[in-house]
Amino acid sequence: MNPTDSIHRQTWDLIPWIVNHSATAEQRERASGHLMTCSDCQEELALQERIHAGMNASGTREDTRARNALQAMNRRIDEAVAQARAADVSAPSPSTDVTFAWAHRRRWLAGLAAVVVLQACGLIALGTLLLASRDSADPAARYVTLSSSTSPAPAASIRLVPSPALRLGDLQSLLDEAGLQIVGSSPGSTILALAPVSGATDADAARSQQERRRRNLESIELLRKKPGILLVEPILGPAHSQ
Amino acid sequence: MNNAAQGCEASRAESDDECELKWLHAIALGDRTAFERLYLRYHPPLTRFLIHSAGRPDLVDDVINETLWAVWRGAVHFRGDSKPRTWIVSIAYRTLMKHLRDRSRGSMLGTRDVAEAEHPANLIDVESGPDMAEQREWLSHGLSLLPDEQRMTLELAYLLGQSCEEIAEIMDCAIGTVKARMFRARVRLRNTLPGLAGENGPETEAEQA
Repeated sequence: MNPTDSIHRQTWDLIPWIVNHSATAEQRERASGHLMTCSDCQEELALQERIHAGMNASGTREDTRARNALQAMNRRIDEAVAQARAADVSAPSPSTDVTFAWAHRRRWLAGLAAVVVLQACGLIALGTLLLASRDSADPAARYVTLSSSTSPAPAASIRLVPSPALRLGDLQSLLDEAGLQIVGSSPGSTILALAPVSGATDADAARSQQERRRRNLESIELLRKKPGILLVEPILGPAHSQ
Repeated sequence: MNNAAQGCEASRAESDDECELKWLHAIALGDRTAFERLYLRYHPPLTRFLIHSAGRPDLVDDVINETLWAVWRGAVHFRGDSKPRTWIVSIAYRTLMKHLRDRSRGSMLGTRDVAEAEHPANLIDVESGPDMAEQREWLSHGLSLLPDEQRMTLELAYLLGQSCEEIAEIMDCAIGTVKARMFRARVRLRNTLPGLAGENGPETEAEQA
């Protein structure tokens, strides 16, 4: 292909872009020189310009169609704006994606906040229930260990100091014999606080104060006779002091 | 009236690209006036672009509305990486392709059984004499005979003013492919447009080129 053919081909290829005005100034200048002398390219340029003009020929009906379509589009936009406002979106320009994105984001954040509030309410309710169950008078509702008593400890009525040589088993036998139980002790367990066992206490519930005091004295006398007991004495509470 | 819309009307020196860029910025802020101007500017050429591909007037309207609705909602995301026109035409092209994929080609393209009143060609009315009416007939017939890619290449160039590079971007193909499609479209069109082509045969010209 000689240079003339090359220029002809380049110009021929450029013709559509010259016709639609998208060719650069340099391309136009390059083509214009060849177009001055090449009748084939001149004819092709004229043909493409006629095609271009024919394709772009328009009339009033196009404008009418466009305006009718625009009315429909405006209704669609109005509906979108109304929906955005109904969704409690207070953005100033409900038309753009920014607005829609913000609306979506706000709804998402509102939902998240509602979940957090719901969780907080649940935790408060759970805590309240736990506190209420702890304060409940129902002992069955409490957490009970094997070492804890299932009934409230009775008031101590006897103070006892066992000999350090007294074995635990012997002490327990003495207390069983006397109908007593340990309800308290000093930090070193050198002094024990005793009270009648629960069964005895229930049985004595209907008895008089004097009867209970008599049984207490009998228990003290019994313990004082036993070896391994250094001290046994009554604990005088408000009732005893009267 | 919005300043952006009014400014574009008043300034003759301002290019279409600058004017449309201002409109897009105004639309991003929710300016309905700017959107209406952009809509009225694009509806006619998009209609002509979509006629042969969509095949039915209602589908043409659907694609245009989807396109300009996307422009209305997406103007805030326009970064100016391309010309506003190329951005809008790209949306229209993708929307058209989606519709074409969604529906069978047989019902979309080359529809021959539609009533005359509903024929896509009737979407365009040319207020001219018999000569222009005849050209319109030849053009409509010639374009309908082109393969889709060649016809769309020609339409993107002549109806929507896109450059070779911009068409390559819109159609997601190489620039060389666009040039080849345009070349073949011109040759085929000359074969089917004797009234426009004159006495010289297209084959001779194509061979010379």
